[in-house]
Amino acid sequence: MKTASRFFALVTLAATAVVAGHGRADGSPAVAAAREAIVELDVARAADALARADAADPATKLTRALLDVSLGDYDAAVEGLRSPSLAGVDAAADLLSLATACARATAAAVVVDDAARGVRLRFQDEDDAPLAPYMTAVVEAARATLARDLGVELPRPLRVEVVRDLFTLAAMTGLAEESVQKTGTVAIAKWGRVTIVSPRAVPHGYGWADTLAHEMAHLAQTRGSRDRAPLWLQEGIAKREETRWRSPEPFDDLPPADAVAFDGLARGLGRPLDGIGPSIALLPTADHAAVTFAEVTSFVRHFDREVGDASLAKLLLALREREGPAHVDDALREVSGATLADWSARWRAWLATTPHEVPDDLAIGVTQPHEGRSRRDFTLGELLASRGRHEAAAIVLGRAHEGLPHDGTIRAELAASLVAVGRPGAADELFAKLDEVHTGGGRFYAALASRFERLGDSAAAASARLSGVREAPFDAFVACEGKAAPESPADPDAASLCKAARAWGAAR
Amino acid sequence: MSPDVAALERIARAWRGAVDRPASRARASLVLAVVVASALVARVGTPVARALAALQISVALVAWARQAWVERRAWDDPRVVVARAVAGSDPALAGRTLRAMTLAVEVEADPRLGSAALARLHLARSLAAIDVDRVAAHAALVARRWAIVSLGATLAAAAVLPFDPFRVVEGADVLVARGGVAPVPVEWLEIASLRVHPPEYLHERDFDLADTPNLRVPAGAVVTVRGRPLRASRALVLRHDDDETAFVDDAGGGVVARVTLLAPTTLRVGARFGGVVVPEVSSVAVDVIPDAAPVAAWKGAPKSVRLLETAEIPLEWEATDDHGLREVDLVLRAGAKEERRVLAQPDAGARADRGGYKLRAGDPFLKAAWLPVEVRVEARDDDAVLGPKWGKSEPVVIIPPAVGEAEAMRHEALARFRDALVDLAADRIVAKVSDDAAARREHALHEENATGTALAEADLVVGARFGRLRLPKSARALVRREKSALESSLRAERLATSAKTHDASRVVSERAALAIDAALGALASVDATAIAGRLGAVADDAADAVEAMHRGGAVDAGEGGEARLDASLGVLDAAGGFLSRIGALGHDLGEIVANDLKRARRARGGADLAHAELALRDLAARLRKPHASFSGGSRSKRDSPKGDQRKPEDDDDAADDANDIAREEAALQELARDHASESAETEKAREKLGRSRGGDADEGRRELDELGRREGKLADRAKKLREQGKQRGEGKSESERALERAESEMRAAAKAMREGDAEGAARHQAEAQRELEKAERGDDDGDSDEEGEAEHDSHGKNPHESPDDGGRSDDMAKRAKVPGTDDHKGPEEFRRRVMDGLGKPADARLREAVKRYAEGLLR
Repeated sequence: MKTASRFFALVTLAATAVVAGHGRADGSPAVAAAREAIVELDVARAADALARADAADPATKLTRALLDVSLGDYDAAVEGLRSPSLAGVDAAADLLSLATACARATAAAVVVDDAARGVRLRFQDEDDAPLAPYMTAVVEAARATLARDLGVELPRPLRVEVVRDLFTLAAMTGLAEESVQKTGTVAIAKWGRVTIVSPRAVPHGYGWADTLAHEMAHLAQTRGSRDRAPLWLQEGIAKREETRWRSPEPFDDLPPADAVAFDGLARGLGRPLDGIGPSIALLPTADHAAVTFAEVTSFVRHFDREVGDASLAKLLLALREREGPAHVDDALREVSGATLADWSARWRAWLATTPHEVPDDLAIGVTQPHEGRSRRDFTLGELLASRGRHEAAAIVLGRAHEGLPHDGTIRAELAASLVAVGRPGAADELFAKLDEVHTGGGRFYAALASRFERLGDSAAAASARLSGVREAPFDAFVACEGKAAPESPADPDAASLCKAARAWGAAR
Repeated sequence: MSPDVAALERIARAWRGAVDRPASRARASLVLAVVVASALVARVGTPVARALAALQISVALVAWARQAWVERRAWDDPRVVVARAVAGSDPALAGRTLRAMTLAVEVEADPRLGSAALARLHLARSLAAIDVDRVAAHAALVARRWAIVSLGATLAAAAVLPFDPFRVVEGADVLVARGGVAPVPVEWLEIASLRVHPPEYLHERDFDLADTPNLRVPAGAVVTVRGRPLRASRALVLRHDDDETAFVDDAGGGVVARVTLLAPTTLRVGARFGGVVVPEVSSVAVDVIPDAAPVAAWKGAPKSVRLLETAEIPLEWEATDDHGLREVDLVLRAGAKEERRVLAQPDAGARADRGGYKLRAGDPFLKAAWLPVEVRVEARDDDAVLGPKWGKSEPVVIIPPAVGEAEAMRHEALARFRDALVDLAADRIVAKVSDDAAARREHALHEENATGTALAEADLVVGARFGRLRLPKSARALVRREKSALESSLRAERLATSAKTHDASRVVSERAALAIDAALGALASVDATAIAGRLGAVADDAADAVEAMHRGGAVDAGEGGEARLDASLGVLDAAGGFLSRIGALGHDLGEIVANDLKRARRARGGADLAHAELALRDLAARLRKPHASFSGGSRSKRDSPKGDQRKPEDDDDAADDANDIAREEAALQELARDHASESAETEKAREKLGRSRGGDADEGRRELDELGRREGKLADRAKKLREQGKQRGEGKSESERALERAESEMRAAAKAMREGDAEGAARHQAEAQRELEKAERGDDDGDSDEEGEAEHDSHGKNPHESPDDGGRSDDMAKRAKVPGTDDHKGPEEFRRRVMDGLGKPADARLREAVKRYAEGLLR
């Protein structure tokens, strides 16, 4: 999700409000320079600029508070924003409200600082801390990919706030909780940092690693374009970059973005590229958000493919130097020789020529026949498995699998029950044809890893295990590499995560 | 001896023989006069007067002593002899003699000035010329003058004698007083009587102090001292401790003084002279019998009771006082919260009272408490002198279940039934029905046993109590329905054991397992939400405690501080643990509680109270929004199939019913709880209005108006719940009718509040609460999900109200003046009949009318 342009607007508006409120000209190049540096995530430059500014000036105080928020020093921001000279300034009140919420959420939180790799992680829930090495690895890989793809080097340290729930995510980003819930948003790049919900918050986890890379792409674009990239480009590039930092996985681009965009546009769920609104998080439903994501993903891929030669990096650079209502068209014209309208028309024409079949089970708004019954069978199967009644569980999960044959999670649960009743061969058959599987999840990858191990393919098993951790790190079946307690993975980081996952599982 | 010396001696003798004595007498008389005058000045008693008197006397005495000393030495000087004795009678001769003396001395010192012999001769001739007789004659004249002075001074000093010579003594006594009290006591008053008037509230007769053993009087008694003054015009006072009361004329030639005695003292008459009192010779030491505080006691206290283990706590109380009881209260305290309920208002003069009280687990105060509740009986006496005093009993400490403990137990009990159903389903899923008759019989037997295990769990969960909780009525109905379905399918399979009947049994058990699982999830969700709401308040309380420590550095158990924080954290710890056991939402929220407590403790451990407070505020804010950490839309359909489990299916689904019913059940429970809290608020507002005046009364009315608005909203909730029941097409049950009546009463209460009628509002609220609780327990099957409130009987045998009366016994006690049991038999019989009548079950509406009627009769 990206709302950095709002951030820039807030900075500008805040300064204007302060100036208007005090009836004096801004006239402080130092404050302006600081604001610009904050937008570009250059906190050191911002601090230098503010050191030259008049400390008593309300505009300086507000900008200082913004810098404190960007640095994650919310206590200092709160203190600064309570200055009497900022009383009555709406922007200061808004920022104070946000900084107060951030201060509450991060009070006495656990900080893991990896100076060598330029990452500072703050965990609201200390039980999430075993995830730190995995997150750091993602940040490192994504940083390198973004530098290569977009020509933008992200700041060091890059700050990531790992929060426990959507309540805190909304509070720390200033978004309405209802909007965040409605669209299923789990991370936001704003205020110079990534705020991401712990995978612990979602019962079966979620793709936190790709999400983190996605949000880092937003930060890179903010920095590279001086926050002048339009929303469609922001989200399109972020979707493109969210998987490029790692090796491909079976479910990347599934369902295909091009097909979903075509289908969604045909059903009226799409939006014009320049009419998405302030944020995808603010779209009316999750279906609208999914279609819009597919649109921008498909468009950006198409643009990059057509223009080639580091087109996206050049576009960001072109945007950086332009302002005004036509700055996007100007930049596009400079890089590609055509405007957005031209490109949109070309893309839609191209889209019509692509295969646009979306598997029924992945189509938006389509319910599978007997889906409800299969889901109940899945629930009953889980209940049976939890009671150790694997033979019955295998039968019931088999029924669920028949109803939803492409669901990876059902396959994983079924495979576990089959293995438990001594039918590993039958379990392996469930993973023999991966193209029949449309959805994965942590348990699916863990089951896949077990199959690879049984087949003696350690490298594939390790890769599948890591994919599982990137989805459901606190599922003991996933984190412990299928080992039963007290056995643990050999790798210390994996062992630590396994321990945390077991503790979490035991408590449930 | 030279002739000159001898001459001088003769002259001196002639003078002194006549003058010395009268002169000395005159000086003594003068000193006496000064002393007398000074004593009279000192009698004024002011510091200035006493200082002036002292100064006068001192000056006179010093002057007297100095003169005596001077006189003794002066006659050794020949020049003084000549000057004093001769100068008066022959001044020329005296002058010549003095010059001759001077010449003789000078020539003696310096012979060049002349002949020493001639000078001595000249002196001798001068001395010889002095006529001793003439000197003596003049001395006699001077002596007479001194005698006159002496007489005058003596007469002046004695002038006071004809009027009141004792004044000089008083003055002298006053003059030498120390600390405002003269050293020499004096008899001032001939005491005629010492009467004691006990305080009115004791209803005792007056008596003479002398008649009391050990001179003891009750505290607050008025002692009246009458007498005849021995000296007129003295400002007589009655002294007691550091205080005094002036005597006044009793219009009968005597004086009188009254003093109220609150503590042992010594009574002593005195006369006041300015700042000084001259005490009477004798005094009276009086002992005072204090009015002791009442003694109140619970039978068996102190003791602790775990609320989870008991549905009601019967308590027997007794209160006594040395003079009279005015009121006996039940006092409930939990942390900073306190609630008082009137147990009894004994008749005037009653020195003892006793009664019983039943505190039920469902009592609103206990339901809202998360800290141990101290229950005491407190009795107030009728001390009108020092003000009423309270006597407190030892406490009965009621340990409420940890927040969420009962709900966790209930959840686990229902989960056990769910698990039994899952096991039964598992058996049936894998079982195959053989064609062989013996195998079929064995199968049928196995089915019977397996089903029996599940049915036993069903009976357990339906009948079990978990503290004040039971399984909600609708959930019980669901359990019974599934049990009935299991029994039917089992009967069918026993009648005709076949693959077909077995498959039908399998389907029934699968459905039952899913239905109960769904009901479990729904109930867990509702319970977790409610618990989180309560814990939010605890987290806020903890944060307030940290804030108090942080801002004031206070370590105070009342306002804030370590003890309060530890108590709140302890509650959060325990409740977080129970919350974690209540389904997915409970586990999620429980984890958040645990984590935020870790944050708060980490900060507190590092003396970082500001961050500890922030972490607790964050927790409180989160618990006020007790939804799952992640809820709402999903980013893609790649999420697990558990992403949308609530999707309706085309076939009938017991789970959906279970969800709806459980939600409504919980909503009704919550409504009843909220309404009980509102009733308590109204009671407080009513008391405030009763006590207040002016601005306070306005505030009370505003508060009542706001409560009325909230009561209206509660009525809306009742209406919504009723309509939900209708939408499900359920017939009009007793529960629904009770809910309808509750809504009507709530609206009447809201109207009364808006009109400022606190009494009427309280009555309607009480009725609404009873109806809500009826709706909760669904009186059509005669059992309840939750325990009711308090039952109260006085004197151990006459209940003030029926158990259904919702604990309004306090009101009853306040409004109805019931004759005491110690009074004569007529009122006792009448009282018994009235109270028995009130105690009998009756229609709730009629009961109110009967109660009003009884109040009118008994008033």
